[in-house]
Amino acid sequence: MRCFAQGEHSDVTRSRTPGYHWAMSAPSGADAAIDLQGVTKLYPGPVRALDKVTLEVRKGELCCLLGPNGAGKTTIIRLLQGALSATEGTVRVLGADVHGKGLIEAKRQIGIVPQSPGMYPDLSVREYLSFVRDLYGKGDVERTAVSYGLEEYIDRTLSTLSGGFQRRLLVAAAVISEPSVLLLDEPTVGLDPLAAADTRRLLQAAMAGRTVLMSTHNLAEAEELCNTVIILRRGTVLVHERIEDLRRQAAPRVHLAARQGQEVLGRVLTEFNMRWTPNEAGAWLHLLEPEGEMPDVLRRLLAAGVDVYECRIVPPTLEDLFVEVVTRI
Amino acid sequence: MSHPLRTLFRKEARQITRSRKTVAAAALVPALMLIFVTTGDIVTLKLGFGKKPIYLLSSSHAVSGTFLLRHYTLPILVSISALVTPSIVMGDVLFGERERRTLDLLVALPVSAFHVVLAKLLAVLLFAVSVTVPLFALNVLIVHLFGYASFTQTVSLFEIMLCAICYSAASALVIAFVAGEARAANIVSGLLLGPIVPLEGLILGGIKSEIALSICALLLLCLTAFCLTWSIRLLSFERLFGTA
Repeated sequence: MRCFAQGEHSDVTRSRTPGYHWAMSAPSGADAAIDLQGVTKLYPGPVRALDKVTLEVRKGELCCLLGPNGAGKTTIIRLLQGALSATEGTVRVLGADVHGKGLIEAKRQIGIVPQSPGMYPDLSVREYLSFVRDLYGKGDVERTAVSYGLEEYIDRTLSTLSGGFQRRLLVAAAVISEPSVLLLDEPTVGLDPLAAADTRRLLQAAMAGRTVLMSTHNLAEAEELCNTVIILRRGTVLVHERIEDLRRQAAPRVHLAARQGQEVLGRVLTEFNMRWTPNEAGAWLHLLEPEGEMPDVLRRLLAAGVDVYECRIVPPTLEDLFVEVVTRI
Repeated sequence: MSHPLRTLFRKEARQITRSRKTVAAAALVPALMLIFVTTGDIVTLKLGFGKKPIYLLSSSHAVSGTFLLRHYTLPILVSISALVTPSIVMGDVLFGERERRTLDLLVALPVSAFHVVLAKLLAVLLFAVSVTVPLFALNVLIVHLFGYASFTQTVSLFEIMLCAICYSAASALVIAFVAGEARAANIVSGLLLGPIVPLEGLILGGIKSEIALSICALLLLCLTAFCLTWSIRLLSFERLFGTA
């Protein structure tokens, strides 16, 4: 991973938007399944939903779009569907411009799970899957229904399905034609924990071997399903990086707890000129190389009369990384 | 018909016929106009009312109740019937899809906005024709039984009916593209459809011969072409979503 300060440039940057860039080291190329170049999107108002966004998602990449509300995640998914037009810049999927003649052909290679869409009250699961199959020109309705546990509900109308089964149906419809790219727009939003876990299990199977761009608020979900992350804020790309590399780059924290309590522990750490933050049971100690530095820190704490009974190195979660990126950059 | 268009058309036609409320609402006005109001007018004439001459649009020539029925009432009734049906159904298939958020399902599939809109337009036209043509046939039967219409007039009325159906559907497209929400849609709908009947009334009242019917049909055809051209210029998923 490389980190560029504002104003710096690199010919290997994959995400090129104003501001800081933590960018993947590989160059862009013809293997991009999803390609946005200098895309700006203004909504009436005008509201700047995207600001000169440039990003590429390579074939086979399982990429999640993260960002606070209004960051531009759904706008990117909708631009890729051809549902919106970019005010500026170009949007390509599988090499086809989303407003060019090749879009329909490209969309036959793309499965899309929209964000909590409405459900037809007058079409059955069988009719809807057949409709989708007919438009894609391939797929097996019965087999897909069985694979996604929908066979019992095949003659029920869409709007009578529970939230979890509606989401199953959307995933089933997205993969019925065996597409090579999946676009998932907050696929588990609004579901109860059990239904969300069930949907994640189905998605994990559906995503295997495909290029995926998934927008989500759920960082645990992103960590579980994806291997790269794009972090957006206010319509700009802050980071496009492998989650693993991002985690490696960020320093882990050390959890410390002492018999004398948080106050004494904190006072001594401050006296030692160490960076720490309080947590529920003690303190988080921020070190560059915890494994090398901790034995000495522990010796000094014990010598100062602080009875440390717990010391644990905690690797950063995606949530930590997300907060760090969004708040610091 | 191309493959996606055929698939979309089948879905739209199936959904329209399954929507009982829409079918009932769309068939009610034509049934009232073409059967009950027409029969009521004829019965009134047969009972001897309407014998007193009437002066139309300050004209110095008085017209009889029979002339009024043939030349004025029937074309207006046929026009209203044909304007109402596609407008109601198109409103349901376009705005209903947006309001129920099922448009999100459609846009996720390998279809273009052109295919989606054309499939809806064709399904609505087919439905409107299949509702109004049988009712018009019944109307013709009633009118001919009592000897109030000629063959040429019937053909002219049929032309007006078809042109009004086309205009109503085409104007509904414009409404769907320019109106972001239902209130705006009602206003635009009123602006596009409202003036048609008074305009026809002026033409029929001003030109008291059968050529007036052809002029009305031609006017509707021109307005249809205008609305279609306008729609094609606006055509996009963004417009359909109401986010443009």
